[in-house]
Formats: sequence, C-alpha cells, structure tokens
Amino acid sequence: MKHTIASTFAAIVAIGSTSFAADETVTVDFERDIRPILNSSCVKCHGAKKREGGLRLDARAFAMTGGDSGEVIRPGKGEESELLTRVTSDDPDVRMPPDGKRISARQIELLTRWIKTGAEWPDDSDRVAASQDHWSFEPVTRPDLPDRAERNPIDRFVRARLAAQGLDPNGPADRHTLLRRLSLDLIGLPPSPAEIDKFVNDDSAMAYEKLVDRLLESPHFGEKWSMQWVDLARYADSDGYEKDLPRPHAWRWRNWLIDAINRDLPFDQFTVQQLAGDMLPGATNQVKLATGFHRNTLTNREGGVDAEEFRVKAAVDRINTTMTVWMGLTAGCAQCHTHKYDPITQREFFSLYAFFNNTDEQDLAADLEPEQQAAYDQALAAHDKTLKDLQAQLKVEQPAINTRLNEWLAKQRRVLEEKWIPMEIVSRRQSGGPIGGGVLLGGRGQYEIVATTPLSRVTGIRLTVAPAADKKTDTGFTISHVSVTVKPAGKGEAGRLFLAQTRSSDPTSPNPSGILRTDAAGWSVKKQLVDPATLFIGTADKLGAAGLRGNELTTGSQDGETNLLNVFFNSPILGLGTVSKVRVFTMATAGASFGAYLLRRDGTSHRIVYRQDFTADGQAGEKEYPLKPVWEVQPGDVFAHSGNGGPTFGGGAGTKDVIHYPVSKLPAKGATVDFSKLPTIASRRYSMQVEFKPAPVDYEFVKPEWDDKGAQLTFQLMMSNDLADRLSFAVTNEAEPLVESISGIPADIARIVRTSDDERSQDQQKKLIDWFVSQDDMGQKLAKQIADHQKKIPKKPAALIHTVKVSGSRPTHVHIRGDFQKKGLEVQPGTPAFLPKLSPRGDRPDRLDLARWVIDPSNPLTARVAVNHIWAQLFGQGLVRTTEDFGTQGDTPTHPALLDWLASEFPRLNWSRKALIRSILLSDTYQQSSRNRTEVERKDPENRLLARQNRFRLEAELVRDQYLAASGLLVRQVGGRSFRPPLPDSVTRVQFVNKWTADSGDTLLRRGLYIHLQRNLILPMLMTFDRPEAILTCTRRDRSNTPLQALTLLNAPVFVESAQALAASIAANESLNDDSRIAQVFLRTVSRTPSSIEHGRVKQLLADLVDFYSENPEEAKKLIGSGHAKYWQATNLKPETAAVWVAITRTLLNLDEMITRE
Amino acid sequence: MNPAEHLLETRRQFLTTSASGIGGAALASMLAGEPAAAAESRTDPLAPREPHLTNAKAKACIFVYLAGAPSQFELFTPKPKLMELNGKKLPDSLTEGVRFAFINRNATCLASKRKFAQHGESRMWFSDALPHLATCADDICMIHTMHTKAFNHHPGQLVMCCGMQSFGRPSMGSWVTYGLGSESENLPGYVVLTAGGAARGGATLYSNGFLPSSFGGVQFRNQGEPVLNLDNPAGLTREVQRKSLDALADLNGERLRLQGDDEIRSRIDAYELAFRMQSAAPELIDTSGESRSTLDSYGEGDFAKNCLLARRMVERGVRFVNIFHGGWDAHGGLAGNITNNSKAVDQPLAALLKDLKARGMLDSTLVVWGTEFGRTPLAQGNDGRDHHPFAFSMWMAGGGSRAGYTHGRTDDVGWSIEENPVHANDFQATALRLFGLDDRKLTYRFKGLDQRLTGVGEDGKLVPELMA
Repeated sequence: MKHTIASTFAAIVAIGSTSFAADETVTVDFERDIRPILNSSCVKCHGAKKREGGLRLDARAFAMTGGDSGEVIRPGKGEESELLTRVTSDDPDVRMPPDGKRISARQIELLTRWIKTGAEWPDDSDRVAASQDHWSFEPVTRPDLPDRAERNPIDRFVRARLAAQGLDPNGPADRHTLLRRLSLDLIGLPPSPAEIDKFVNDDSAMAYEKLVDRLLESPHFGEKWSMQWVDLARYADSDGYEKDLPRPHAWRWRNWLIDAINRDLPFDQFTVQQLAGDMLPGATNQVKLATGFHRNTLTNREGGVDAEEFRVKAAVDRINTTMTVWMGLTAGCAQCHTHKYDPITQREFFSLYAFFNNTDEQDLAADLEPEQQAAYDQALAAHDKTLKDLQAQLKVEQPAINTRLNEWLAKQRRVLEEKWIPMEIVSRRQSGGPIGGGVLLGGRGQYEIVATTPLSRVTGIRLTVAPAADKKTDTGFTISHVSVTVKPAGKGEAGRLFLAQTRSSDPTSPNPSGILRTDAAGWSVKKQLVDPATLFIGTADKLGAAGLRGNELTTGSQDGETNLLNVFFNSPILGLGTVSKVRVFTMATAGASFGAYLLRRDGTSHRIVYRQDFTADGQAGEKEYPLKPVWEVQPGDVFAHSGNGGPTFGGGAGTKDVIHYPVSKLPAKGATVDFSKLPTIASRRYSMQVEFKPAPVDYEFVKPEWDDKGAQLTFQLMMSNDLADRLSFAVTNEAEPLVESISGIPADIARIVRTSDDERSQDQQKKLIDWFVSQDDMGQKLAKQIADHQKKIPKKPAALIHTVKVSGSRPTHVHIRGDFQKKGLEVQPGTPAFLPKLSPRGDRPDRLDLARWVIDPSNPLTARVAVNHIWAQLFGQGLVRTTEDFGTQGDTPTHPALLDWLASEFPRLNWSRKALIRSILLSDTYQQSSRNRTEVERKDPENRLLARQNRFRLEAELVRDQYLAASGLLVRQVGGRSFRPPLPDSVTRVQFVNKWTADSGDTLLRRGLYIHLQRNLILPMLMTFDRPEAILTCTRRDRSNTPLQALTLLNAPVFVESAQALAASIAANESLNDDSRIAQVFLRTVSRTPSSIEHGRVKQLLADLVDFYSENPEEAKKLIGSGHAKYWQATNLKPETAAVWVAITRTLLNLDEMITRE
Repeated sequence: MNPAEHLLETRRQFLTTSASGIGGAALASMLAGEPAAAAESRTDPLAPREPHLTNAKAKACIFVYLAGAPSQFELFTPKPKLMELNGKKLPDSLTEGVRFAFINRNATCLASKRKFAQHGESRMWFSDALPHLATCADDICMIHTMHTKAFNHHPGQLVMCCGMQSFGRPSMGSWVTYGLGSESENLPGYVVLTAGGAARGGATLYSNGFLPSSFGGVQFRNQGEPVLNLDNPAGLTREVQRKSLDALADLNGERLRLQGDDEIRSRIDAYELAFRMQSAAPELIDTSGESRSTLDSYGEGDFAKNCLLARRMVERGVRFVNIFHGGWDAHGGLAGNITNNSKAVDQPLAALLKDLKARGMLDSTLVVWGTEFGRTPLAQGNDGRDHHPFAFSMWMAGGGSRAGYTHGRTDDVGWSIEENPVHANDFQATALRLFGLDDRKLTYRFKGLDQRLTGVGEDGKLVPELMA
C-alpha cells in the first residue's frame, strides 16, 4: 500500500516565539520533515535490526508504543515526550543520539512542533510487515503439489527437491527393517518373533497399512508418543532445587497424557486443555488434570528463600515453555531486554507473562487407582470387623462394670461433700430473700450477701448457681467483681479476703477462670443452664503470688506490670503505683467537658490530689486520655469522674457506677471533701478505667484468721444478664481448695459425680460410664483395645491431581532487567504485535483466550511447529532442525512447501495426530532404506534432502525397553506411578534431603518412561543416554555416543539381567541347536536373522567361549551364580554351557543395531 | 576370503579412516570463529584441541568446591573493626533494603574468634584454622572481593559452577573440556569427586547442560568400582570381555559396511575406550604405588584421597577435576563447623599444591578454592552467620594465576566491596583465559543464541591482575 503525503497529512502549525518559523502557515510534513530526521539519527539503533531498549522509530506502530521503559512520544505534549528530552539533554549519558553526534537546532524545532501539534504519523503498516519479513511469521498457505508422478504428496515434495539436486532416493527398506522401524517409531518396542514371521510372510497389498493401523491402535502408542511431550513439559517426579522433594502424584498427569494420545485427542483440544483446561466451561477433574502440564515447573523449598521470587520464576518458565513448545519462539530472551533478534519487546514478553502471573497452583482430590481402592476397601472392612468384635465383648462386660460404677459413685459423693461446708445466708441487699439455703437473685445488679462460716480460716469458696426449680432459664449470666470481707463474730475489724485463682466446673464456660477479671466476661455461663454451675475461688495470702488479683479493682497481671483497673464506686486502690492513662466512655457531644480526679483520704475527709479535664471529640465509644503528669497513687486512693451530666454516655455491658460529679460542682484541686457526701450517681452508667502500674513493693500480708466460728463473710458481686437463679455458698479450709475433692478425676466428671442420679442427663450418664470404663480394670483393657484399634484405622492413600487455577488479578509490571523486585511499566495481558490479534472473550484477555489464540488457524507458528515435532520423531530430525526456534535465529526449513503442506494438513485432519502420522508413514520417503551411499554423503552429508531414511540411536528409556523386551522380562503395564530402580550409595549420596528409596519386584521391569525422575538425581543410565534433566523444556535430545554408554550396556544390572534371561530362554530350549539358537538371538535382539558372515563370526565366538569356560568352570559358575540363579534353576544345563550363552547374548545385546532405529 | 578374514579386513579399513559423521559435524560448529578442528588421530569428541590463544599456561584444572559457603571471616579476612562492633548493630545505611535468608537487619555484629596472621613473603592473611595452607601463601592468588546476586545455596552454586542461576547450563568443567578436549585416551575428560556430604545442587553442578553429554562430569568413586558399571559381571573375565568385544567390533563393522553410518564407527571406538577405562580407572585409584611420604603428606579421609586422585588424574591427562566438599553452611555452631571442616581440607589442599609444585605440574594446573557466596559479619543466633553474596573470598593457585597476590579490598566490616570487585562471571572469564580460552568465543549455539559460560549478556570481564 502506498500513500500520498499530501493527502494524508498536512498540519498547520501555530507558531510561538520560535526563531525560524515566523510564517504561521508553515506545514510540518512527517514524511518530508520528520522521517528523515528519524532515519538519519535514530533508526540505526532503534530500527528493525537493533531495537535498542525495545524502541523502534521506523514505523508508527512501534514508535507510538515506545520502548521497554515506556512511551517516548506523547502527541500534543512535548514536555512529556522522552524523545524530546533525549535529543535536547545536556547530559551525555542521556542525550540521543549518543557518542557526540547531535541533531541540529532546526531539527529539534521541527520535532518539537511536530509533537506539540499532535505527532501526526501517517499509516505505514506496510513498513511494519516488511520489517518482520521472516518465513515462519507468514500465514500458512496450502501449497500446490509439485507436478510429479508419485501418489503420496509428501513424496512429491521430497522427490522434487531431490531431483533438482540430481539425487535419487533409496529404494524401500527390507521388510524386517520396515517392521522394526515401524514398531520402534510407533510403540517404542521391537516386534516379537511371531509378528516378524507374520509380516514378513504377508504378501497382501495392504500388509503395510494394516500393520500401521494395528500399531497406531496399540496402547503402547501413547507411551512412545508421550515421551516427546514429557520432555517438552519438563515433567519430573520431584521439585528440583536444593530440597528436591518428591512429587508422588505427578504421574497422574503423565497418565492423562498417555491416554490423551491413545484416544487421539485432537491437537487443538490437547493444547487448550493443557494451557487452560481449568477455565473451560464444565471442566471435569480429568480436563483440569491436563493443566498439570504447567505444574511441572520447579519449586524451591530451600530455607530462607523469597517465595515471590520463585513464584515469578515459575510463571516466567510457564510462558517461555508455552512459547517454545507451541510456537517455536525463544521468548525467554525478552525477560531481561527486548529480544535481540525476534520482534518481541520486553513489554510484550511481560504482557505474555501476565497470562500466567494470575495463575496459581491447585491440588484436587483424585480417585484412587482401582487396585488401590480395592486394597483400601478390604483393609477397612477387616478393621471394622475387629472393632465390632471388641465392642461386642465390652457389651458383655458392661453390667458388671455398672455395678462397680455405682459402688464407686456412692463412695465418691461422701468424700466430696465432707470437704465443703455449706454456708447459711444471713442477709442480702437486694429484693427478694433467701430461699432454700441459697439466694434468689433478682436480675442484674450489684449484690451484697452476708453468710456465716463455722471455719476459722477459709482457703476456698464455692459458689453454686443452680437452675431455679420453678422455671428453666433461657439466658446465661456473668458474675464478676467478686469481693469478700470477713468480720469476726467478736471484736475486731472487718478484713478483706484476697481472692486468687479461680476455676469453674463448667468446661463450656468461655472464661472459666475469669471471675476476677474486670472485663465483661467474668464468670460466664452460657444460656440454657440445666445443671448446677460451680465456681471455686481460692484465697491468697501473698500478693506477690497472686499479683494484684483478688481485688475487684484489678486484672490478672503480675506485680509490677501495668494493669487496667475498672474504677467504680467505693473501690480504693490497693497498692502504691502510678496511673498514666484513663479510659472512659466518651460523650457523643463534641466539645463536652469532663474530667478525671484522684481523691485521697485526709483524716475523715478526702482531698483532691489530681485533676485533669478533657474535652469530648464527639466520637462515641471508649477513648483513652494520657495524664499529664503521671499520677502517683497510694493505697486507698479513690478515682472520680466528672461530666456535664449528659445522658449520652455509652452504656451496655462493662459499664460501671463511678463516683460522679457534674463538672460544675466539682471542687478545685487541693480542696478537701467529705467522702460520704460525695455525690454518686448510681442511676446512670458511666465507665472509667485507669492504667495502673504498681510500684515495685512487696505486698505480702497475712491471711486473715479468726478464732470464733461465727464469723460473717460478706460477698459483694456484680451480676450481668437477666438470670434469676439460686446462688449458694460453701467454704473449705482444705490446703488446696482448687483441686477438686475427688483426686485424679477430671473436672467435668467430678461435676457429673456431684449431680444426683435422677438429675443426671443422658449425655452426662454416657460420659460418666465411658470414663469409668476407662478406669475399670476390665473396661480399661477393652476400652484400650478399642481405642488402639481405632487409631489403626487404615489411612486412605492420598490421591491428588496437580492443576492450576485462576487467581485474582495481580497487576503485572515489566521487571527491569528481569529483576522481579524492580518493577517498571504496568502492562496488560496481550500477545506480541507481529502475530495475529488476540480475540478475547471479555475486556481483559485471560489464559483461555491465549490458549485459543495459540491454536487459532491464523497463528502461523503453531501448526508448523507441531508437524515439525512429529516429523522429527519419524526422521530423526525436523524439517526445521531447530525444533525449538522458528525465529530469525533458527534454521530455515529444508522443505518449506512440505512443511506448509503438513501444517495445513494437520488442521484439515481435525488435528488428529494419528492421522497425520499415518499419512507420513505411508510415504515412500519414510519407508526407504537408511543405507548411506557415497554419492549422497558427498552431496548431502547430513541427509537434509532425505535421499535416504535416517538411522539414529534410540532415546534412553527406549534403550532400556529394548533389552527388557528382547529378554522377555518387560512388564507391559500401561500408565501408573513412577518407580525407582536400585542405585549404589555412591550415586544416591548426592541427594541432600530426599533419599532415594528403591522399589522392588516386577514394577522394576516396567518401561523406562516410568522411571522416577528425581531432578537432582536423574538415573545415571538415563543421563548417560542423554535424557534431559527435566528442568527446562526440551524439544530435541542429544544423541551422544560415549564409553559410559558402552559400560552401562555391558555391565549395569538391568542389562546383565536381560542377557541372563535371554540366554536362559535360548540355551535351555532343547528344540534348538546352536545354529538356530544364534538365529533366535538375532531375531529377539535386532528383529532379523543373521547373514552368513555374522553367523560365522558368532559361531567363532561361541567356539572360543566354549573353550574358555570348559577350561574355567569356576568362572562359569560365578557368571550364572548368585543373583542370576533364578534364571537357571529350572534348566539342567551345565554352568559352562549356560555361561557361554550369557556371554553370547550379552555381546549381541550390545550390537549398535540393538539401540538404533534403522 | 572366509567370513572372519573378511571382517578383519573391514575392521582394518574403518579403524584407519577418519570419521566425519554427526559427531564430527557437531564438533566442527563448536568453536565459533575457529576453523573446524583438523582431523586428529582421535576422532572422538574428546580429542584434544588447541585453545584460542597461544602461550596459555593452564592445561588442567582442579576445581575444589566448598559447598555451603565457608566463612571468610573465620578463614581469610581479619576484620579488627568487628571486634569493636561485636554485639552492636551495623549502620542502617549498610543494611537498608538488603535481603537476608534467615536473619534480619537488626542482627548484631559477630567478631571472629580465630587468630589471624600474615604468611610468606607475600604477607598473605590466613587464620589459624588453615595452618597448612598458610605455608602455601606465596603460591596463592587470593581474591577478597568476589560477589554474586544469588543468596540461596542452589542458585548460588549454579552461578559459580555454571555461570548463571538458570538451569540446564553446562558447568565450567564441561566448557573447558568442550573447548580443549582431553589429553587422556583412557579416562573421561572431566571427572567429579565428592566428599564431606553432598553439594546441594547435586548433578546440576557438573552437568553438560546443552552441550553433548561427552562433556558432562563423570563421577568417580575413590574406592571400589571407580566408575559406575566399570566392572564386568563376576565370571566374565577380561579375556572373555576381549573376545566378546572383538566379535562385537566385527559385527558392528559389518553393519558399518552395509549401512555406511559413521556413528557405528564411533560406537566401536566407544567400546574400545570403555575397555581401556576398565584397566585405566582401577589403576588410577590404586594409590599403593605412591610413596609413604606422599601418602602421609595428604593425610587421612575422603577429601585427602580425592586430592591425591585429582593429581593422579591430571597426570594422566584428565582435563578438569571437580572436588566437592559439602557441609560449610554454618547458620549456627560456626566455631565447630570451621574447625572440623578446615581440619578436613587444610592439610590435603596444602599437600596437593606442594605435590603439584614438586612435580613441576603446578604451572600447568589451575587449582581453585570456590564457593557460592560468603557469610555475614552479622551474627545469626550467638554462633552463626547468614548468607552474604556481596563480598566474599576465593582463591586460586597455579595454572598461570598470579602467585602471592591478594586482590581487592572490602570495607572495615567486610560488608561491601571498596575496590576491585570480581563477579563470579569475571572470575570464570579469567579462569578460562588462563587456559587460553576466550569466553566470548567459546560458544555453543542453543535456543537461537551463541551461549557461553559467562551468560549471553555483557557480564564476565577479564581481571588481568589475577594473571601472572
């Protein structure tokens, strides 16, 4: 597209005071005035080639987007445009262009005016397209087939190219080779002798196609073809990093994969489910399991790591992996800086990253495997049966136990009652009167109850609140602020009993020891009181021990600590100390005055020693006010509180009556007032607390004792909530009053014991019996057996699937130079500009949109990359050799048209992997011999043109599979958990935390695909044969050829084992002679019969070995002895003969052909 | 010609023809900017190659890796100021915004209980924990200003061993072997020995990464079977092995004749090298031929044995030896940790340096004391130190490094670097240079980029002062 400058842009610029443009009608023309400046001074570094700082100034789309650190052109806002800042700066580190070149003043003027007037830049999207001219970014178009005779389209493409180079293709491979090739390529296992026999002798025209179809339907197809995807998914069975903990559930994703490939899940769905299966409508767990693809990232559980750092690392890996696996893009480079070669800016990278920045990990419960479930059910049933047997036995014993229980109960009650002396109520200050030896309480309020005691010393007091006989209460109650004074019957002054710790018999009480606390909780008994509730209070003889507890003014803090004291009427402070703050319920009226006062006894009157006024701020609720100065407090001091008499003080639980003055009537500081005449306003509820810090004094005092037995105890207490119940008191002089009188019995049981038989509830009865059974010899024995047995209930094995889920909306920022702590511009989820547009379902694109974009037919990369992966599996290398890189640094395709034909064919086949593979397998190109010819080697040493098939070494896992298959040892179970083969200590020692525990038994004979992948300890055999470390996505494996491989195949246990098993099955077969035995070994190992040359050479070895072992029978015994005896026990072979065959099979198992796909 | 004669003829042919198969092609692209290695008598990927620069002294490396981060304050850097500040906080300006693994920035300074003295003509500082090594002061090139960004072990170990925090990259040993091949025809080019517990990173620290697996570190054991699967099954004698491998070579040779695939030739070579290793490796670890005084000089224990084996490997042409010694991560019990670990490594390392020198091998053998980071001047608990990547100490000796030289200066408390910082990548670039390898040229094309040990960016500056 070409545009005319005149028609697209003409700006009339209003000129200010600039020097050159006196003419106000001068037009700044982008193409005439601006582009030349950019081209001459900027584009060299900020163009298609270099993209410094992610900025390009060669086309509008790029220029307006800006660089890695943001916009550079803000139309209309010259002063905010980085472009102008840079060209005008005096700082050589900032100024552009760098290195002393400067653009002229006139150019700066032009740029300035251009930006100020709106930075018009005509559409030049053709430049954008041209600048990204790279074959793989072009849309896939279905090419015409070359005009040739071959029937198969693939052959036409390949052969046309060969013809052009003057090369002939190889003829077809022989049938043995073809069968073995197909078997290895489709199921990764060699054909059996019977299969070889059948195929080689099947003359029908369809023999080959039938074979292809049979192998495509084999359950082992999914195993073989999952291997490549396992590499791509960097699947492993452990976390990686230092701790490298195992992931015992990871294999379920691999099961999904094998199954998905076996049922030929179309590649588009295969893709969407793995990238965003969790977001599909109505996704089942099986679909969510597909997202396990991205749960294979590493997890660092090393001590002291920053979890965010590694969350970010995993998210970065997820986008890198997605881009590499599906689109062949090395996006990862753009994490730290704009991609040097491919058109991905750093901001675009983080827009891609944003899709995964809001992805979290989630483990879902999975079904057990059928055999696991069956085993679990069986164990559970057995457990239940034993339990029932034990319970039946207990039932038989129960009557005898009950008898013992009743005897025991009677005895305990006697003990219990002797300890506590019920008190007789003398008087109470509240309406109503004593009833039935207790006090009927009359609703919330303050009580004063006087009772007499026959004891001369009290160590404990028991308060019992029983439900009223005549009504069931429906509210709970709280008793707090209990104080007790004792007045001897004869002469002497009343003294205070200092109350110490408390304990409630009611385990359900929210605050069973809270009676002495000054907050609202107190001793709270919940609603629906049915049984009597009891509170025990000990008395203290030392404040040091009890702190300041024991007084209604205090909280339960220790001596010297700051206490919050509730201040209320007639409550003098006990000790020396300071008060630094008061806390009051403020009035809601802003500006209202009130104050706090400290009064001190002064003879018979009180003197006001401190006074401080406050002003309410209008906010209702509890407020704290610091005191200036801090108030020094002495024992006996009283606090007072003043207000303007307003009625709007906060009320409710916890408010107290305080000495209260209207502000206007309060005497001045220093004045002396008559305490008894101080006004108290009991009708209103005010609250004041003070923060009291006791002085470090020893508060030891003597616990009151009295001679006579008629002393009066006066109880003062507060009750809140409207519960009217009978309250009774008892006292004791036992040394440890809080220890329930029945020693060794828990409080709740003791409480039940105290309850009479007919008052006991069913629950209580059951509890009592259960407890007693646990104490009874016989009962205990059975109960213990039952309890122990119940502990042994079979544990359901954990079964999880690892999935991902959408999580919130973390904002995403560019990480400056890839550092997750240095946040740059905020970016939104999005895809790179050079690729087709994303079509999100909603406002904010999400991961499901990304997944659908990846697989959209307009995406030029996905299908090309996918068919290339498949091609690489069947030819040993891709049409694009760099399977991981389709960008500008990757290899170009050897057959671009063929690649595009396949890429268009794949969606046309409904993305059926099997169908695509099938069409490749039916080509002559695939079926041709792999023999190298001098002519081909000379012209095309790397066989890029496919004048022959490729010969290549099998993958590590398949190498192992070949040995087990040839020897007949292979266990062909498809899917399932991973297994750990045994390893020497010297190898496992490298593990830091997580020790390698080898499995045993038949599971070790499963296919190599199922070997446990411990990231820091990949099985040496696998590593030796180039298995990747499962840390990063891997699109193609190395195929090295090393002496360690030779040593592994010659001597590693599983390979020696294979030689033994194969030797035993051949040598012991009496229907064979040595010649046919040699032929059999060839058939079992390399799927063909030996040539006469080969046969002759093996016969020669056989003769040499026969000589050796007949002369060295003790060596023969060693070779077939110890660990290998099991293969030989059933045979009658002489050790010398057996040993010869072990050496023969071991040799032939080491043929290069054995581990090679020909 | 009977079959056997025919095979013999074939074998003669392919053993005298040089290979240029996939292995050869891969090698040709390895040394960017260099002409493909001339056909050598050896065709395997480990055949020796010339470095980029001539006159390089180092031919082999013994990289001793002390995993867990030994405390520089207990070993190499006396800091009298820490005595004064013992129990006090550092100024906020130093610790502002700093990430720690376990402690917080209010932690207080911890003075070393070790005694320090200067040694040799170079007056190099060592603590009394390393009395033997101190006698080698004049051969050592000490660096006090190492730094890195990683502050957790495994990432830090990856940086020091493989150049970057990310996984899947080749270790330095792999790069050197890739660049220079190996002088040994009977042993792997890159060998790994471990002692004193594991390096936490495990095999990722000596992996070949994206390089061909021939360049991966091969773990040797210092007793019993030195290489995994080296020993034939019982009853399969060396004679039977020879007969078997002869037959195998003939049969593979026949396949080579038919298929014309050079990989088969490499396979035959690999089996032959394996056979040679079967005798060379046991001979290597059998130290009974060493003199009493040599054995005594190295002392007892796994680490000592590994140091001696490393010398024997280098003598036999092994290019790169990694010795890992773990267990230095003293978040608590620092005093005991230093005493015990130092005791295990001090004498053997000193013996190694002296032994190499006495045999005239020190000039061509680079010995490195490496680790992932240092430890804080701040206390963790009352006897521990946390991770400190901002300034720490390493040293090297021999191989053309500058003997008796101390590089770089940290501040009074060893918190930060005051002059001459050396990033892990700088160190690596310099170490490669001692081998005549230019880290910018020693590249391998992977994921569309010419990858190198020191990363793909601008990091990795040569530190000429470290070179003699």
